[in-house]
Order: sequence, then C-alpha cells, then structure tokens
Amino acid sequence: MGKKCSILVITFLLLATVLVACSSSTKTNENSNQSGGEKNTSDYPNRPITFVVPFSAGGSGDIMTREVAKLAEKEFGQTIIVENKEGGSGAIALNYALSKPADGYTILNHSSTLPLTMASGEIPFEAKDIQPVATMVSNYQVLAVPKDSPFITFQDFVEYAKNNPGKLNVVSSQTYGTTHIFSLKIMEEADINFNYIAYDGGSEALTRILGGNGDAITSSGEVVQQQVESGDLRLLGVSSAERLPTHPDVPTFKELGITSIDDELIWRAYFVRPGTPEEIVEKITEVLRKVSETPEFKEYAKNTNQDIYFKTGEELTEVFNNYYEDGKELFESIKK
Amino acid sequence: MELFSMDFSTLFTIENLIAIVIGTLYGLLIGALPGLGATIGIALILPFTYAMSPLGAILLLVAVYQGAEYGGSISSIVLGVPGTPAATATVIDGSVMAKKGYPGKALGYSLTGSYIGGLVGALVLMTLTIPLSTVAIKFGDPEFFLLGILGLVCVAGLSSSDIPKSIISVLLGLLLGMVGLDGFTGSQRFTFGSLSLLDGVSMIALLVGMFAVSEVLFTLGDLNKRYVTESKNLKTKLTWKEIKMVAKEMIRGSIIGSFVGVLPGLGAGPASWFAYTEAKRASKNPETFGKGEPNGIAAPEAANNGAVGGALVPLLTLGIPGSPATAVILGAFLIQGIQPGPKVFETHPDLVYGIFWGFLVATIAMYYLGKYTTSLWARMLTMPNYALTPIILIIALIGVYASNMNIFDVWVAIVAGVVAYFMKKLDFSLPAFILAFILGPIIETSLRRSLSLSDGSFSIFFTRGYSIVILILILFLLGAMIFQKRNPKGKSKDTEIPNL
Repeated sequence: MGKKCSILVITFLLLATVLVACSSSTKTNENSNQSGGEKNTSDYPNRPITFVVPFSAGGSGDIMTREVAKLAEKEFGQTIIVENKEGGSGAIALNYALSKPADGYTILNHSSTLPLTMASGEIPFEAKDIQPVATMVSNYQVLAVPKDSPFITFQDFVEYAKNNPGKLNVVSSQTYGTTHIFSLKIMEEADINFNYIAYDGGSEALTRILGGNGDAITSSGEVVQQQVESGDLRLLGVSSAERLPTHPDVPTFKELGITSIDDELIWRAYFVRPGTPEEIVEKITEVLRKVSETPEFKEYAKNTNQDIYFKTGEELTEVFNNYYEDGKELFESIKK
Repeated sequence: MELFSMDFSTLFTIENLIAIVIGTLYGLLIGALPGLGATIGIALILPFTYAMSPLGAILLLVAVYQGAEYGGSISSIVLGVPGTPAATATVIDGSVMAKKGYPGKALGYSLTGSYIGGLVGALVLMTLTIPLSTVAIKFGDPEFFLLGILGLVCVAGLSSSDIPKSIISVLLGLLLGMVGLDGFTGSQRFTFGSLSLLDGVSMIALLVGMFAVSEVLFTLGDLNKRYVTESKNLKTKLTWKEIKMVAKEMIRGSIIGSFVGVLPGLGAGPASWFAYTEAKRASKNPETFGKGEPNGIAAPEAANNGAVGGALVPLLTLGIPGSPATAVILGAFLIQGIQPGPKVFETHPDLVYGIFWGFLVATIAMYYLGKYTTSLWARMLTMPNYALTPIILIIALIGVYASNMNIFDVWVAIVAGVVAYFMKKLDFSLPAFILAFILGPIIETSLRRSLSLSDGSFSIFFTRGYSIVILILILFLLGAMIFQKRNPKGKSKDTEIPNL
C-alpha cells in the first residue's frame, strides 16, 4: 500500500512539475516583453527567427511559409523555425505571436481572412492589435455554375434570383471568410438574395457543386481551376480588376456593375506585433520583397495557381483596413 | 487495359524503392508515436520531396500514410494509448489481448488486418477509381447526415449491454462535440471565453485522455504486475487457423474502410469505428468484444488502412482531398507542378499508374517491414507495471502536447482520463461517447446545410436515391436490434458481461 501511494504521489508530482514548467515558461516570455525590443535593432537578426502559421501543417498557408522560410534563411543569414499553431480561427496563433516580444523574431502568417474574422467579432482581436508587413501571393475569386446549369451569364443568374428570392443555393467555404464577403457584396449590389451555404473548405464546396447539390459556387480561382478547364464548371464572373489572361471571355464583376468588387482578392501575408522597431520592420519587408522576386518563389506561385502580390507599408495597411471595414459593415447587416 | 501497359521500369527505380522503404519505416514510427498521425508525418517529410521526381515524391508520401495508419495500432495495442485517432477502436480489444500476455498475437492481427485492408484499398484504387468517384460525389449533406445517424444507431445498440446507458453516452458525446465556434453563425458555444476552446475540444487530447490516462488510473491498483513473461508471446506470427478466424471481418472492414475513405470528410477515424461495430454486430459471440477479441483488432485495422486507398480516389480523379492527410499530398502534387483532377489521367498517365502500382508495393513493404520491427515494440510489455505506467503517462501527455503545442490540451487529456475512469467503472459506453463526439459536428452541420438547401423541408431526406438506401439501412438495424432484445437467442442474461 505504501509503495502504491508513493508511486501515485511521484507520478502526480512529475506531472505537476511538467505543467508548472510549461506555464512558467510562458510567464518568462511575458516578462521579456518589457525588457526586450529596444536594444539590438542594428544587428537584427542575431538569432533564429520563428514564423508562426495559424493553420495545420500541409495547408496552403503552411506550404507558402515553408517555401518563404527556405528562401528567407539565405537573406536573413539565420535559421528560420516554422511553428504551426492551429485552431480558434487563427486566434491561437495570434494570441501566441502577441505574447512574444515585439522584436521581429516572431513573424505571423495569415491571410485576408484575418481582418474579416476580426471584424465579425469571432475572435477577440481588432485591427489595431496587429501590424501587417507584406503580402506575398493572391488569388482572384469566382462565381461559377455547373455545366448543365441554365445560367449562361451573370444576368441570367441575377434574373432568376430576383424572380425566386431565397431559392438559389450558393455553396462556398467558411462563414465570415473572404468568399463570404464576396458573396454578400454580390447580393447587396445586384439586389438579390440567395442562400449562402458554408462548408469547411473550398474543396468540400466543390464536391457538393459537382454532385449537383447546389446551384452555384463562390470560391477562390485555384479551387475550381481544374473543373473550369475540363468544362465541368462555367465561370460567370471573376473578382479581379482586369479580365484573366486565361479566360478572356469571362467578365469581371466591375464590368458587370458590381463596382464594390474591384480586385477583391484572397491574399496571404506576414504580420508582426505592433511596436516592433521601424528598422526591423523594414529589414523584414526587404527580405520578403527579395523572396517574392526569386525565380523559386515565382515557380511556387505558378505551381499553386496563385499570383505574386507584393504589397507593403501604407498600401497594405489600407487594403487591410478596407477588408476590416467591409467586414464590419456587411457582417453587421446580416446579423440583424 | 492501360493499367498493365505502363512501363514498370519507371516504377522500380532505386529512388522509388528507397522512397517506399524509408517512407514506410518513418510512417510506422510516426504512427506509433501518440499524437503524431499520418497528416503531421506527411507534412514533416514534405520538404524532402521537393528535390525528388514526382513519382518518387508521391510514393514516399503514400508509403508514410500507409505505414502511419498501421503504426497507430502499435501504441494502441502495446501501451493502450491510441497512436492515431483512427487507431482508437483498436485499443479496446488490442490492449486487452496484449495485457493478457499476447502482445505479439495482437500486433499480428493488427498487421494482417492492415495488410489486407491496404491491399483491398489498393485494388479499389486500381480498378474502381472512376466509378467510385462518381458515386461519392453524389453524396450530399442529406446523405452525410443519415450516415452519421447510422453510425450512432450502430454504436448505441451494440457497445453496451445497457441500452439507456449507451444512449446517455451518445448524448454526452454529441453535447461535447458542440463546444466551439458555430460554423454557421460564428457565435461561440460553451467556450467560456477560452481561445483554446474556439475550435472545440481537441480530439487527440480527448482520445488519449479517455484511453491512456484512464488506463493509467486503473493500473495503479496493481503495480507489480508484469503483462508478458514469456518471450515467445512477442512473435507476431499468426497460424492459418487464426487468420481464417478473422478473414471475414478483415474483408468486411477493408471494404467499409475503402468506401468510407472515398467520402470526403469522413475518413479513417469513423471508418474504423464503423468496422468495429459492424464486426461486433455480425459476431456470434458479441460478448467477447472488449475482452481481447481478434476480430475487434483485425476489423478496424483493415478499415483504417482500406481508407488510405479510398482517400486517394477523390484526390486523383477530382483533385479533392478526402482526408487531411491527402490534403497535404495534394500540396506535394502542386509543388511538383502537377494538378491532380479529371485531366491527370490524360496528362500524366504514367504517374497515375505508377502511383497505383507503387501503392501496392508500399502496402507489401508495410507488411514485411512491420513484421520485423513490431515485435521490438511488444517488448515494452515485459516491463513491470511500476516502470511501464509512468512511461505510458509521460508518452501520452507529451503526444497530446506535441499534436497542437498547446498546454491546454494536456489538461483536457487529464480531465478526460478521470471522467473516463468513472464512466468505465459505472459501465457507460466509451465507444458510444467517442463516436458521437466524432460524428456530432458532421451530423450537425450536414443537417443544417440540408435544411438550408431544402428551404427547411425535411423531405430532402427521403426524396433522394442514396438517402433512401441509408434510411432503409437504419430502419433495418433498428428493427434487428429491437428483435434481438426481445428474443435473446438462447443467450442467458448473466453471461452478458458489460464491455467497457
């Protein structure tokens, strides 16, 4: 009995030590927030840099970050560690990155979904909690229908929706994501109403539309690209500012009269904690710019059906804030 | 047939064979480490494939996938810690058989099951890819909803002798599955303001907690016990008689696995549970399940390896990944500059058929490599409990932490372990609870989407061909269950010992 008890006690002590050690290490990080940051800006980086990815390993954001990390290591002259902190619609990674010092050694990856989840109130953070550094790649969005759909043009789609409000089922990915805003803008400006049915990802929505469970799909261009090429899906409109070189006969939404959809893109970007010294942000921007110009990165973008989209500084802050404001306004309107 | 007209010299290159061997060994290891499953394993090795040829790269990854699905059963059996979520059903009978002193046999059943499952999956992939993908794509939300209900009906009726208790277990599982962000409105449910709960309770933490941590609590009662005293019991060899005994369930499990694997969104986890409950339902001695029944190991293992081949079907034909692991493999294709999908059979026929045959080779490699490496793992059980128990606890908790790098999950595992301890003591059904937790979100979202599609009309569930088939299956099972309860075929009540 005595032995049993002591082993029980030892096991739990061990457990307690492990847990306490882990929680105390987070505390040290918090403490170093105040002390770190100011010094050592000139010799940045002098130790390994961490890229935090809010998605699971193998996702699109993760694959891009690993590619960027590989190329940026040469530019920084330092090892780069890629950490996946998935969950909580990106809130876990955001919270983690914000708990680290504002010294440029922790760089957060996220997409255009970030300002939108912030705007929807889904995660307890606001636009001012994060500083965008640079976007890397982008993808246009599309409205597409199956090949046997009666809708040949966007006008057909709108006309049917006007005569049958709430009858059309549009499948898409995610509530409060980029495709949701895109769909809401179509509804608002064309003055129509359809059911927005959210799936867990673009490919799940694609399966449904191919199986005949839905009338149309809104998604990023890369999700439907194969099926558009094979003729299983027909594009009714694209969200880019100009027509696509690959599909010159498909109108842009701006041409179709939906003026608020002008270069409504899905983009992937990097962020740091606000308060990071100016020189360090500049250094990171410079490295990311060089990475975006390498042939390897261009090859990656081409292979994954994305476009290089390098935006930084003022310009990016504006893009970011626009998404945030759009999100606030449109999501407010549907919550009512 | 084009399948046989390919140039096999492009498949049997040194690079490809090394890729298969390394991938399999690495997959076995990753699968056996709790918390790290096929998806993480594939993602970690992905950067090494950039410099390889397309065929070598994909074969490396499918070998990891196949190896990890079997490897997951190793820690399920030896340590009682589910190595991967899909190997959880294997814990129930696998760890009991191992602890009765036959870890080698248990691993043998699991290896043979995995092998047959892998082979059937490969055959399905090679022959039925196109027809299966056209059927799978017709499955919409109403069908997913009904499949989820079917799963719950199976498990509620079969996993415990006490039906009300297993129904309560199902309800509790469904309730726990509701924690997190509502996918439709984005509102938070039962998160208590915690960021860690936004995506719901971590499945790995819950599974490891419920099985491993609760098992640790049970072993505290008998710390001097040594499970295996004779080293001949470590051998994974099975006799023909033993294989014949589980053959039927292995084949059935393989078919269930291959088909469920094809359906995007379900995957190996539910597949193995479906196979387990089906094996138990079809068994003449359902009371032996949970006490080291060979069929309870072979069936789910056949299913989770069958699901590997199945999951590759929509990936290759539609460019749609059927599981998280195949989503990463899709990434590998893209990096190689190849887009899988309807056109890949025309643009890269050699690659596709190379993958088909290579997948078969990888499955065979898994069997032989598994055979010679797994008896090493079985040696763990020659340790006395006072040494083994802390090791299990530490491995389990490190695994939980490693899966998400979140200390919150470790607490989830500990709490789940304590709760499961009492659930087992009070004869509540853990499989029912867990399957409900896994299927709950699928059932909920597909129900809500179905009703959204049909404008609120329930007729959507019985006006579609496949829906009607599943509905009839549900009614048949319910009928059979009620019939069995009213006429227990000669089985006296007191031999029905509650399982788990």
